[in-house]
Formats: sequence, C-alpha cells, structure tokens
Amino acid sequence: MTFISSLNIGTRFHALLDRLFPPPKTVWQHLRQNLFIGMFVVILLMLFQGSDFVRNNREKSIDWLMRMHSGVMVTEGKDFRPFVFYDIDEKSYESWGEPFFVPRPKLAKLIDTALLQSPAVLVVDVELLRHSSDDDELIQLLRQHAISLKGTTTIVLLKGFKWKENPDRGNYLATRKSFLEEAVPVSEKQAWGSPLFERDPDGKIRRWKLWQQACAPSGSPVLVPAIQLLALSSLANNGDRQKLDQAISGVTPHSCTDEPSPRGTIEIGQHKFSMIADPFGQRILYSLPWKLDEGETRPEVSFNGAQTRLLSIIPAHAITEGGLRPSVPAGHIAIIGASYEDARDIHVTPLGVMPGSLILVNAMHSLVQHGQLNTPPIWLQLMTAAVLLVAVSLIFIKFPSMTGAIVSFVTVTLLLVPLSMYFFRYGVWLDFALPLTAVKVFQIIMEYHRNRKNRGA
Amino acid sequence: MRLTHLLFLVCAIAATEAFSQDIGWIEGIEGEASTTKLVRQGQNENIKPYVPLRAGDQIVISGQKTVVLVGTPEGKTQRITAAQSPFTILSVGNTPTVSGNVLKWASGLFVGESKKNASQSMSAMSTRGAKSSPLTVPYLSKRFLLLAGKRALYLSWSGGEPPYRVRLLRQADGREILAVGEIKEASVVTPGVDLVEGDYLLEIVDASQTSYEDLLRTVAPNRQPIFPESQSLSQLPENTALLLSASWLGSTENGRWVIEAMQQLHSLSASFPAARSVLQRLEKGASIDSESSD
Repeated sequence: MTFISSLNIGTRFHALLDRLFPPPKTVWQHLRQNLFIGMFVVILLMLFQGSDFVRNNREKSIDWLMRMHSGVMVTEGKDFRPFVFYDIDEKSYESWGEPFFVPRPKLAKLIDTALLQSPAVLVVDVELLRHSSDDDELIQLLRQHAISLKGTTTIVLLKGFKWKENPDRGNYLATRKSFLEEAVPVSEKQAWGSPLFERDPDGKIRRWKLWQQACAPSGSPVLVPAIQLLALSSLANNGDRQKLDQAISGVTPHSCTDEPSPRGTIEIGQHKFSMIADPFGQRILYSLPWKLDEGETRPEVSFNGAQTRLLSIIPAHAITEGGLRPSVPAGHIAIIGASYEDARDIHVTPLGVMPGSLILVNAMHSLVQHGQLNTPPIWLQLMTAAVLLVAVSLIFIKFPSMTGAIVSFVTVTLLLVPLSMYFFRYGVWLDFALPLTAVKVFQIIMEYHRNRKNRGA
Repeated sequence: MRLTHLLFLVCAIAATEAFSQDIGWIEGIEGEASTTKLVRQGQNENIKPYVPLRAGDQIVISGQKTVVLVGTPEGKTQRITAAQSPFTILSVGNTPTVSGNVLKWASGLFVGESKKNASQSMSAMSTRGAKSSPLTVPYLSKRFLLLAGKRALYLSWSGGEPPYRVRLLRQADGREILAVGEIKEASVVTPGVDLVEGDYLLEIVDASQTSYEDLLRTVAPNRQPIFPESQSLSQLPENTALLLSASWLGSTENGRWVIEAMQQLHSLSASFPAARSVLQRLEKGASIDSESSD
C-alpha cells in the first residue's frame, strides 16, 4: 500500500494530461486540441471494434435501424421481387389432423399450385429426408418439373444436416440424404440449399452464411450454398448459378477436417459478394415482420406491370382444402414453409419472432435489394467523426458545462441518426454508434479538464 | 363506424387494370350460411368457404348470430357480423413508414417495463443455428409419446455445457411438475413423477443458459402399440423378449415412441447389457430400421 502511494500515480497522470493538453486560450487552440482528443478516441474505438462493448453497440444500432425500417416500402431504384409465403399455419396443421410431418400429397398440392403462378424461384422449406408411404404424387411432380422443358421456375429444396460425434475431431456437421435425391433425376431447375443461419449469443438470428460446410455420408467435404444465394443466382437465366457453383467448388477443402480458404468476390445479379465471412456484410437487413400492428398493411409494389403486395401470406389449408390460387404476377419468389408451433421453427430476430421461412424471405429480399451490407470507406467515417467533433467543440465553447454536453449530444444525434437512416435504405450502414460513443468519451474528458481548471489544478 | 377502420389489404385497384388482385377470401362461416350473401358487381352470390374476395365486394349478413370469417394475405382473419353488414371490401390500411416507426418507438419508451416484458414471448429451437455444437436431444425431433403413470424418467442429451438443469412443465397450466438441477452428466434419472395424460414441455438448460425445449405427450398405457408377433416373444428368454419389444417400439410409428422405448431399455440395461447398446443408438437419434440416417 505504501509502495503504491509512493508512486503518486494520480498526480503523475494529471501532470501528463496537463502537459499534453494545456488550457487552450484561443478558439483555434480549443478546436485543435479537441479534434486531437476526439480523433484519438475514434481511432481507439475503431481499433477495438471487435471488443464486446463496441460490437454490441454496433449490433444494437443496426437492430434499431432495422426496426425503424420494419414493414416499409421497397427502396426506389433498387431491384426487388414480390414474395408469396404458403404458410402451413396452425389452422392448416389442425385441419390436416396434426400429422408428425407434412403430408406429402398436401405438399405436392402446394408445390403444384405455387408452380402454376410461375414464380422465378420456389423454395420448399420443408424437411424431406425420410420416405413415407404417400410420396408418389410428390415424386411424380418433381420428376415432371425436372425433365419438363416448360417453365423456368427453379425449385430450391432444403438440405438436411445433423451433428455427428467424433472423439478425435469433436462434433461436426454431416449432410443427410433425402429420399428425393435418388427418386428425382438431377436437373438444373432443382437445387439443394442450406437453411442454416448464425444464431448470436442473445438467441437472435442476425446473419446469413454464404454456405454451410459439412461432411457427406461418403466422407468427402461439401459446401452447401445458402438457400438465399441459390435463389438470387436463379433469378436471372444468365449463368449466375454456374458462377456460384464454380466459386463454391473452388473453395471447397480437400478433406472434411480442413477449413475452406475463401478469397475474392463473386458477382451475382447486380451485387458483388465477398467470399470471406464478414460479420457486418452478412447481416440480414430484415424489413418484413411476421405480424403487423393494428391498422398496418403490407406495402404494395408495381411488378411486371401489375400491382401486388410485397409479401402475401397464404395459409396452406386455403390451397389444399379450398383450392385457392393467389393472384400474383409471374417472376415472384414463392416459399412453402411452416409456422405452426409443433414445427418448432419460430425464431427470434431483430424484428421479433418469425418462422424460419420468413427469415429466408427477409434474407432473400435483403440480398435482392442491397446485396451485402456495406460500410462507407474509412476516410469518410473519419471525416464524419471529425466534422461532428468540430461541431461539438464549438457548442462546448458557446455553452460550457452541462448545457454544452446536452446540446452537443442532441445536435449530433439529430444530425447523424437521420443521415444514417437515409443511407440504410440503400444498404449502406453509416455507423452512428461509434461517433456518438467517441463524442460521449470526448465530453467526459472535456468535463474532467474543466473541473481541473476550475479547481486551479 | 368500425367499418372504415377495418384492416384489409390494400388494393389500389383500378377498373382499367388488367391484373385484378384478390384481397381476401372467405375463411369460414359460423352460424347459418343461408343468412349471408356476397354482392359482386350487383349480382348476388352464395358465400362459401374459400371464395376469393375482391375490392368492392359486399358481404351481407342478415342472421344476428351469423359470423363470416374473412382471411387476408396479411395473415389476419377478420370476423364480420350482422352489425357490420353490408361490409364492403375496399378498406385501405396504412403501410408503415420510417417516421411512423420512429414515433412508435419513441412512444414505446414510455411504456412500463412490465408491459415490455410481457410482450416478449417465444418458442425457439436450434435447427437454423449452426454456430457451435448445440445443446440438443438427438432422438427428439417431433412430439413424442410416453405412457402416463407415476414413474421415474430417464433423459439424455448431447452438447451444451454442464451443469444442466431439467424441468418438466404441464402445458395446460404451465405448472412445473419436475425440476432437477446441478446435473453433471448429459443424462439423468429423475425422481418419480406423476404423469397424468396430457402435454408436457421438457426444458433442458445448460451452464450458459442455452435451453432446449420440446413437447412430450403422455397417453394411457393401453395406447402403447403391441408387438406384431407377441406370441413368438413368449418363446424367447424374458430379457431378450423385452429387448426386442422395446427396440421395435422405438422404431414404430415413425419413431414417436422412442422416449418410451428408452425408458424400457434403460430399466433393462441394468440386468441386460445388450439393452445398453440399443439405448445408446436410440439416444444418438438412430432409427433401428434406418441405419443410413445415423
């Protein structure tokens, strides 16, 4: 204790601060000093952006921006597709007698109806691993679709995975073979995709994955592309699918124990995707909530010369029992999935809970509209922070003490948040959490400095 | 007056538009269907389930106790009563806007904490998340059946971090009927618990608070399927017969009796080691009749 006291750490620290930042006399000195301190804080925060504190703030700020854009109209000038979600809801499940898995004749009816509306892509978000006694109709339908020259719809089916134990290398994911893989001929119009997303420690699903690495039953490694990436590459008949297949086979490791070595980018549709996992680039920009509030409706869009909803949710029983056919223009994206409770496919997202199929819809919508979430170049981020710090310094000079702190924080928030919201509509994330944190830290330093000065230290 | 506020899908329909958008359908009729009619372009039509509805259609209900249910592609169901008759389908709702969302968020800041918490309910599982080896119960993937009665339960799982906590809650009233904590292994034999017929929520929580939830249903003992050639079993040694019967039970009816089969195999494994190896296979999610799935 005596030894620590003898070091006079506090006194030495104050002396260092005083030497580095002597009390400024002119406005220019004020600005120069404040800018130096502020930029130091910004750079420090940027260096530690992987830390829990900075990362959580950034995640929360993106979550907040998404909530503010929940259910709104598509961004003008950006590509989009209307979606139809054929929902095996609670009522459908009950009317089908609460079966243990989706009855294959019912699924065949749903697929058939969906195909009649000529979607560009039909995602079948239903597990189809095991053979049942009622598969004939489904197999027949998929066979016909595979070999038929008519129609351009790509059907994306759900690849099954399971965890396997291995005492030497720990648990690993293995692919599971569906009975359909043998029963239906291989076709370019059908593909198997990974439905897996990353779940954050708080239980929310925020990110998609370009592919899922797994081990095939034969022991060879496979990278199964994400359903949303397959859907995007199937929208235009321009060789994007082949490009995606080539890119994925190019990074597939030689053995199940090796990690893939992705590099570069891949161009699909109007967007470029980095092959390297990026925690922010792979954020799903959710904008389509499951449940709407009282008085709200889904946005309407004009697509292929017709007015339609951006998202229509049709209960499966209305198709299978009522023969209903949704009115939606050709070229939309359709998905068949389940929201009934026993399917256990309800997940937490930044827009609240939603069925897994709606997560896929959001991921596809997000990719079609914006591709990967972009961040502005680093120089622009630093410049934004510098401008804000100058503004805050001027406010501090004009309104010293607490008033300055409040006025500056409110001003920065009012300037930065709307700007950030504007850019967010275009898939660009202007990080407002980082400059705000920098300004806050800067204010604390200023306050400390002023207190020292007032005490005559 | 509520008519004008009723939420229906936007239709933005113009008579000149080539593409006519349905904005709902008849989901069902409660009461007398004969007291209802659909007026479309001046023509009367019968109301029957799943008839598509377009903008301008009118639903007329004369029966005081009759209700017409209208489904919409918003995922909502609207109840139309005689008091709202004639109900015209043309209501336009509001598409959310960024400014509206900001206002909603700002007003939400003043909502009491208790109300915020009350609105957060979820059911979750982990088939979409593949970040790390999850806490899972490989043999459970659907609603599973157990025989009712007072009994100890053998439960096992994989993944997650010990210590684990296991709870069983009665789904009807949420009452906790079993809770075992500080479990160091990935399995437990619970104390005896009185399982009356009904649905139960099984919850397993690990040290990092990751939880696994699943539904179990207990049924009367006479619901247990009977081994098809039970007479041939009587000619076998008792343990072998029990092993065969339990193994068969674990794979019958798409494996929904697996947890009951595991109870029987676990009891048997103390005196008959062969039962242990079958039990281990079932625990890993293997199906007796489908080796390829393992």
